[in-house]
Amino acid sequence: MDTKVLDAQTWVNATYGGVSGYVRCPEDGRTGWSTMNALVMGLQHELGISPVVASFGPTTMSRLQALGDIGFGWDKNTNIVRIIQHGLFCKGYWGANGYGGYGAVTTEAVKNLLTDMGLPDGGTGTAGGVTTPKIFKCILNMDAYTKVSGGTDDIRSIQRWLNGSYWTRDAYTIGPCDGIYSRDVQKSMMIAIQYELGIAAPNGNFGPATQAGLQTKNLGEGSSGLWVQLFSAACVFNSPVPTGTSETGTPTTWRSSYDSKLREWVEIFQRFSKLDVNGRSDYRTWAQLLVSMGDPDRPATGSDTRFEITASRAQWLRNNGYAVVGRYIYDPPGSTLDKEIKPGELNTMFSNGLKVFPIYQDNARQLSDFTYSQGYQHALNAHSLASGYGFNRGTVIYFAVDYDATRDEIDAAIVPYFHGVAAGLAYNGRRYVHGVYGSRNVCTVVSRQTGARYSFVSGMSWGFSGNLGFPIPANWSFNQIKEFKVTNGSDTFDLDRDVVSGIDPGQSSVNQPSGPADGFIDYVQRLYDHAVAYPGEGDPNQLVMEYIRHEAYGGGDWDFLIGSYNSEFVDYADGKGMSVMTDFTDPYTAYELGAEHLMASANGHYVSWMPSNPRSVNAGDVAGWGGDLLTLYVDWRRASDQYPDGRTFVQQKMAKVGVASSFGYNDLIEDADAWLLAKAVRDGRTIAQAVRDLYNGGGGLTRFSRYWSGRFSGNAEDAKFLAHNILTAADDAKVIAAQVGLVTVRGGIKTLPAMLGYDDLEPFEQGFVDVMLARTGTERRLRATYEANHEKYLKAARSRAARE
Amino acid sequence: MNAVSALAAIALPPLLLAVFVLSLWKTARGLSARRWERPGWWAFPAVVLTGLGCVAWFAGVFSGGLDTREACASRGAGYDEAYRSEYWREPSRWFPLHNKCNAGFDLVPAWVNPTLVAIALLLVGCAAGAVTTAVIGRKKSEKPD
Repeated sequence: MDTKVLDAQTWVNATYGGVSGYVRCPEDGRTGWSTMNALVMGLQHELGISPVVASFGPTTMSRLQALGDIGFGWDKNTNIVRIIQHGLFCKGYWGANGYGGYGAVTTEAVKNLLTDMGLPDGGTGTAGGVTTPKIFKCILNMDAYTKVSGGTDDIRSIQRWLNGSYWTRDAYTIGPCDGIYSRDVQKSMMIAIQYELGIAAPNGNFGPATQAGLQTKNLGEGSSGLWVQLFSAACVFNSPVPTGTSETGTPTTWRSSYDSKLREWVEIFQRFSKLDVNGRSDYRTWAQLLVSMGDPDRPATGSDTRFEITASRAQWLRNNGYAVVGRYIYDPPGSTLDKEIKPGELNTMFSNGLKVFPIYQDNARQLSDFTYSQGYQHALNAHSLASGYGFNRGTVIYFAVDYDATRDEIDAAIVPYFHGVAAGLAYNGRRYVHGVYGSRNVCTVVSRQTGARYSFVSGMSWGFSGNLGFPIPANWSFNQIKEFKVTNGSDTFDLDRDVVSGIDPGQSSVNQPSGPADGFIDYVQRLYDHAVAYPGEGDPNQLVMEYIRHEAYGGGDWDFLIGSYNSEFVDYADGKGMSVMTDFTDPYTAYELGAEHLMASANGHYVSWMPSNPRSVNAGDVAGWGGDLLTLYVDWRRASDQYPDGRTFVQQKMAKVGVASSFGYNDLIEDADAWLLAKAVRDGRTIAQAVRDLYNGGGGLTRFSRYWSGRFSGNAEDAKFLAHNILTAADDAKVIAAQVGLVTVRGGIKTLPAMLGYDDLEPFEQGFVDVMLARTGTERRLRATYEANHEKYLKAARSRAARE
Repeated sequence: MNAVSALAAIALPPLLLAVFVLSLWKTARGLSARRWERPGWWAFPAVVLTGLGCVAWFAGVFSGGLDTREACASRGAGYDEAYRSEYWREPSRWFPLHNKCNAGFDLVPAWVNPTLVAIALLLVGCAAGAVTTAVIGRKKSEKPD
């Protein structure tokens, strides 16, 4: 609470509370738009405007201009002076020692303000420090003229330079100097460029005259002067460029000479933006720096459309250089657009060499379309539709935000909507992954806060507040730059051109085979046969496990934990035409199971079988349930503000159907199956027989209860000890390495479980026991359902076998 | 795990840490007191460098956190199965360390590999320093009074 702000609030309410149209501001000592608008309304009353409104508009400006500049000794209206002084206090300047007189203190405060803005202060002593109408307007807005949290010195220098260079021009509005790149700064920059191009009436738009002018500003290394300053400023606004690594990106600094460092940065930016890499400020680079669509006529190999892709349209697309098309998988009831993929359309695209990326949009044009539950329902629907079209596991579905959401709306509604989407996709076994379609800001925030895989940026809506003043997101996959009408003989259809970054290659097929478990069983059998025939050394069972895990679970961390895989056998099996099968459908729960994770965990248990002490843990446990529990611990510590009680967190997040989590329901199934497979192989079955017993022979009907009694001794006390030991044990180098590696190195959490007090950690461990018991209970309750699912699967499997 | 190996596992980390801290202290102290002129002193910076190298290597190796798909998803990077399939040997190489989600995104922090190279070079420097000071010391001792 600031007493000077409180002074302003109480005075302005007391003085103008009875004025027609006046809206009182809260008297809480905190600066905000309500206080500034109250001062504006007070000023309007003093200027003879009635009724007053909460906006500093043209009438207020023209009345002020008629009044003239206000400076040292001005005493025509003490209330107007007092409004200036209160405004200065609200902005953080010491406006006066006593209110009402424009003395030396007020003059000095205005001089400080002008200096912070980058403007000349007007002179020494009581000269200068004059409040012109333009400055008055700045005093009564919420712009900051000192660096704020998150701002940079470089951007603030540019803001001050722009203000100082153009503030006297009519079209230029003095902008904030807070060090943050925003819509206002972007507009100031554009108006400055338009003035320098000699455009008569600058408006801040990227119109034809601006485009034509910038085509003549092709600068390169060795250039210097004003245009380099403007170009370099635009570069700073788009800095850093994501590098494609986990580092923050490549930054640049503001400069007036085009040196080798600027050239290098421009080359990186051009590469990231998929422009010609020449290190020069060519027109396309200017455009890409200044507006979200860049040059809308640049080459693009992507597209999206609501129109069906018929054979002739597909041919036209191929002939015109398009390789991938975005298509809608849903058309909501009542829609007249008829935008959903048509039967046979996907095959038409694939047979013409086109790829496809799916888009899901159910209205999504206003704030009220976005809630958590709608996101959840949309994800369920999207999963069902995408499965119906046969989209393969791992396909990214772009959920649309087709309007200009503000940051407040993104935080309040869009992010919860996407949390709902993630949970809905998780409910269906995470077969599909969510991406986001929207403005740059929507895409950036949603990706950061909900883990959206890729961003499909609505760049052609360049005037969106979510595009102006925001750099393109690091995970952009498609940038929609232009909508146009295609005329192909007598056929016409609308098409959006999308620049493609390449991180999402799109889908070139659907219905990839081997989804059901019988396909997986056959696959393991074939692999096992190759392993038996392999002339090199190695246990065939282990070779099979290693082969299936080697791509996704074969890094140095796994080498350290359970040993490296046999790369000669990988070459051998590849040579026999084998490849890694990534997933299959569980015949009991109908969940998608990850074959690589399953075999990595089985491999861990197989080579590092459970210790003789039932309460001890080892590397095999880390490869299975233990690693997942350590990762869940990371999630809990990150959410500890929301979930101070670890037990509640685990109960809500671990192995829970429909909840997105690092230790999801699939993970627990895979952990249990992995332990059962390892045990079966250690007991003398081959891996092929073990897989067959588990998925065809009904072994999976009791997977959780057998896992619980086998690995956790079937009692809660031992299970809790095991959970405690995997989190804190200090007597096994590999377990310690996993604790540090997963919690601190990978998870970024400095507080290892062993450093947490027992009272804090114990509920988390108890939560683990609760969930394990709950899952065994659920297994018993749902046995009839699982048996029915299994019967159905076996019948289908027999039918498939008969067809072959 | 038997009692002896369990005891060793418990005792080893603090022992290694103590050796590292001692070497760090000896290195710092030796620099100001010109102890680097003695060949034996070079063992201390070598221990410090080896320790730092192990930390850097560990950070690189565990960047995928046992589940590369999840690590990539948490960074907003796509897991490209085709890329991983083509470059399957890459994540298990000891040097340079890489664990890429796709052609453009590496989970291994960019500082890891240059740090490992720098440490290797500095270790060679330590060995050279020890040999040089030993030769100079021998020559000095062989000089007639």
